[in-house]
Amino acid sequence: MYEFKFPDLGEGLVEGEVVKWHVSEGQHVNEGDPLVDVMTEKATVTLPAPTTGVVQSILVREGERVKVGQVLCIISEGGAKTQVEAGPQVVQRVEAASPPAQAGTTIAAPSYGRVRAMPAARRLARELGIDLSRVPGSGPGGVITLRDVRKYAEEAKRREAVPEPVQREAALPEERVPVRGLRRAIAEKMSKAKSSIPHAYHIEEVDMTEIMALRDRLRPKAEALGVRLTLTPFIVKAAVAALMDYPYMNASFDEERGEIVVKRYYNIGLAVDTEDGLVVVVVKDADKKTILEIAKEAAHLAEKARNGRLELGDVRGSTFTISNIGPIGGVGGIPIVNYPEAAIMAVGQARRRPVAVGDGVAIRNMAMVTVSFDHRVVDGAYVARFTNRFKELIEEPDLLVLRL
Amino acid sequence: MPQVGMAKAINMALFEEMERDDSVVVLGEDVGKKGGVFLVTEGLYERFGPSRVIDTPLNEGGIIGFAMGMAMAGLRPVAEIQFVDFIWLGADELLNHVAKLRYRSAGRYTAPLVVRAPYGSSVRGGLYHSQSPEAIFAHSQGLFVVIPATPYDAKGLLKSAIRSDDPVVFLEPKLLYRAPREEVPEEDYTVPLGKARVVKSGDDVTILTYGSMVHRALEAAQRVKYSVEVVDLRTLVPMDIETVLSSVRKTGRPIVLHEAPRTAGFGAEISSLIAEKAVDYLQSPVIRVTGPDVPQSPLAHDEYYAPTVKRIANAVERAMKY
Amino acid sequence: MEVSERADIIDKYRVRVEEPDVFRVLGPDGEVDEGAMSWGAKLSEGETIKLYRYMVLARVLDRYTLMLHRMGKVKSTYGSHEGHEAADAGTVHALEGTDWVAPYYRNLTLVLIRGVPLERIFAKFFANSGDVDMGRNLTIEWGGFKEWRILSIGAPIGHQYIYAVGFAYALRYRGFNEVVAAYLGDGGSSTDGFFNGLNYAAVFGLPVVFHVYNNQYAISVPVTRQASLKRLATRAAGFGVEGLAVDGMDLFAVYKASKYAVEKARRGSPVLIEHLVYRFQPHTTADDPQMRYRDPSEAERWRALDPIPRLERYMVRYGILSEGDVKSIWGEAEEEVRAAAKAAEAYPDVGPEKLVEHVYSGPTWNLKEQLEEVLASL
Repeated sequence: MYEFKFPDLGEGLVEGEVVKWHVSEGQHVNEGDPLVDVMTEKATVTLPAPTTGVVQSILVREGERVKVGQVLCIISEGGAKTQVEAGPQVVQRVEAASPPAQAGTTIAAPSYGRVRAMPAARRLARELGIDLSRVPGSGPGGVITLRDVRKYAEEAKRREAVPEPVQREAALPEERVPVRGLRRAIAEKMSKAKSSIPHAYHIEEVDMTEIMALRDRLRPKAEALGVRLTLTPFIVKAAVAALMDYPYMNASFDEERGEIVVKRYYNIGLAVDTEDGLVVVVVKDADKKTILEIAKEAAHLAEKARNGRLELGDVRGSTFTISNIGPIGGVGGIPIVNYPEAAIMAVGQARRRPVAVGDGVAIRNMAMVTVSFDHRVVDGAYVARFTNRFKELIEEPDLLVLRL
Repeated sequence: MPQVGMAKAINMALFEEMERDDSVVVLGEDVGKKGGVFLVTEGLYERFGPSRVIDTPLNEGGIIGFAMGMAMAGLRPVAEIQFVDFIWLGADELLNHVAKLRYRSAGRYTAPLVVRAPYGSSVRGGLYHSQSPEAIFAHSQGLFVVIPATPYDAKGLLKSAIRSDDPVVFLEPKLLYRAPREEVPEEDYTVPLGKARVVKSGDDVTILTYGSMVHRALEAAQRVKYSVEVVDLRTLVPMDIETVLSSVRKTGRPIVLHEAPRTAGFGAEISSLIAEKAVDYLQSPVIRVTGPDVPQSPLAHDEYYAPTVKRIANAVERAMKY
Repeated sequence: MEVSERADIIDKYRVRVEEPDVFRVLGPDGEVDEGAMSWGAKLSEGETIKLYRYMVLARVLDRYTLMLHRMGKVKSTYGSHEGHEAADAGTVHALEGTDWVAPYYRNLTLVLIRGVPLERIFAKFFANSGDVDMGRNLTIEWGGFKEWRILSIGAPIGHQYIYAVGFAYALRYRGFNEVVAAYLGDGGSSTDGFFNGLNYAAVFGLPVVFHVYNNQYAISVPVTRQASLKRLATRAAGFGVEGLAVDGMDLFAVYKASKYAVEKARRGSPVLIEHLVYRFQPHTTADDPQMRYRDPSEAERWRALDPIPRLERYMVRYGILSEGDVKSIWGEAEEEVRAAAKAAEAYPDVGPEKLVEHVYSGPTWNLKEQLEEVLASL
């Protein structure tokens, strides 16, 4: 008898939602067969069968939530391979099943199968190339109807065309959109971060002129190597250098044990805006990677995020997060800490502004940098010093070069 | 043109066919001088005499077996079963022999007869004057099953049935024998077998039905604020699949309506065909509105055994929630 | 008032049924009851020899088929008609060629005399493309042998009586002076079809002769469970139909009674004839009487009345045939049967596309669709 418990798929994950069982009770499964899709805060993950045998009972139904450690299903083992020593092995196997970094496990890819929709709605969505998981369902029990798809398609078209706010308001004074999928995951995660982390903020202006000039100089060379150079890898490198100097910024707060976990590895989360919503991709070991490598990797991850092709490893394990909202616009933003990290940095758009330089006034590219932090881990002064170091490295790229 | 009810329209068809073709004979209980318990054969005996309008002993197996032999020998008998509820005495003759005769003889013998029988509830007939067993005939390979819903169709369909080379079970909704009435031409015309009729076109919901339920469906269509299409199948076997599917493809919301009990009723067949051939078009589940799975139909519950207008309207509302 | 015990008061209100004796012409040793022989129609020597040849052929065919069945060549279960040969020969010979028969399933001699070639019969047993019925029916369900004026039957017996009556009605309506002979066994005499057939025929006065082959068993159930009568022919009285009981294994008795009945029926008065026969073989190849319900000695006792040896003894006794003639007739029959079986084996299988033919007068969309699905799997 094998009790398959919902494994912890990544730090901070405590529960998920079962979206689809690939097997039914009484069905034989081989070890590694797709067993169940579970949507966590981060991703929808297909969990493979941990053992060969017959699925005896399914304990968590589709649409129900499951906590880490809760038994998802019971498999009675039939395969000779896994027959030996039932007792102690169960534990081992659960543990073995826990590390979720299964190659090919996909994330947040819109799947038609798990959405409840009427057949005609499915057909139209298929014809129009609409991702049904994004269509709010208005039918009985939330099922997506043909009307819903048509409405969604019309609205999508209107969004592309010139907006007609007045008219639209008249037509639709209010719309109720069910929160599901990634939106729900974001909502829950943000609520949790904002309610459990006592946030404080530090704001600084950073002169981006020099780093932008450097970026511009390097750009053709990078392009020759097939990499499109943005500011992001420079910001990442500067942040990593600053984190090394201020290690409590690269940490998390263990509530259960009342400990601060200081991390000696630097996995930088980068917020990516996708059609589905915010996704944080992770550049692992950023301290060990070159600007070029980071540029390449960030671009690759962003692409994957936008195509819904992210794997669990792409979004797991960040230690510090950067939200570079500059390309979209805005003076700056005040981000919410990416739970359970200690801090997050938002970089606003670099804008040409007159600033005092020495005794004179010069036109410089100024960006607002905001650091939100877990006040349980660090204090304002510490964050200010961290931010100063970052600012210094950005404003004087020569110093940054020394640290690479 | 005279305004007549269905009983009279059927009578006209019999009269005209007997005039046209002397191989057409009518047999059954009380079909002679009395003219049938519903007066459907009224006047035939006087016109065509006892050799063509034949009162039989009281045994439906006898009536159907007798008619089978006549048909094998080249006549076109129209056998009346007084109420379809009584037909089971002739179940072996009808289902085992009439239905399978062409097949078992590799086409050398045929039994082109018509078995006419009043059927259906809502006439306070109790358990044995109310049944709707059309699904059983539809499940007996070799029989055509025809159910008219209007006087005009009844005349035209019966003529086609009599001229058909296949045996036909012709079920007459006795609720409609006297009303509604409509103009029925006195001249010869036929309504082809195997062709459904879109009685009312609409865009939101399709009601697939036959017999007396056609009229309730039309009434329900008036009561709801949606655009309802009503399809009268007219022939269950062979079924006009094209008309059914094209309507379902248009509206995406099929309601299958009959007064027969639900489980394994003919509606199940229609539902399956829709699921097999038009699932992509479904905006709502296929909804069945039928009699309940109890003997059809207890006197005390007769008024609402067969689906009422209200029940049909409710189903439309339910479909429109999708 | 005093209660009277006098029988004569009620007697005239009582139905009186007198059960008949069994009409027999030929004794067990082939001797003739001259009185009986003098009544009714008489077979000529030539006719007798012709019918005898058919009876021998049918028996050889019967036995050979049982052997082919064990070889797996016969496609379905087979029911031997051994013991029924004289009844078939006499009843069918009493008909005109234009008359019709509605057989049941133990009428192999009848089918032969009606003219169905042996090869056709074997093709039917093999259910191949040489079969008139396209291999749709069991060995002895005669579905579509219209060419030989054999009406169609299926295994649920009884119906042939009632549709035979309807058929006769149509014949008369159309002005044909043809008779229909319908057949059932003793078990069949308990069916609705039997009652309806006799009743409708009597009520409408139709040209039908009803034959009941009382072979003592409906599979395993003895005739005493079919009726609490000594003779099944007695049942005819209840319908106002004339009933006769004959020794069905006596060709002459059968012929005389049948000829009489056919003529009477042709005039509009149906007749029922009970033929006393014995089913020497099991019900079908799926049955084994000696295992469960029949003492072998019973068959031995009946064997004395076996119609074929009885007729042989008659012919030898009266010098119609010599022993040598008899021997050569058997030999010829065997050769004929063997050759026909061989020829019939040569027919190819029924094509799978025939599956959906003849359900209706024309193809329907669903049958076309279903055939395609089946063909795609072959």
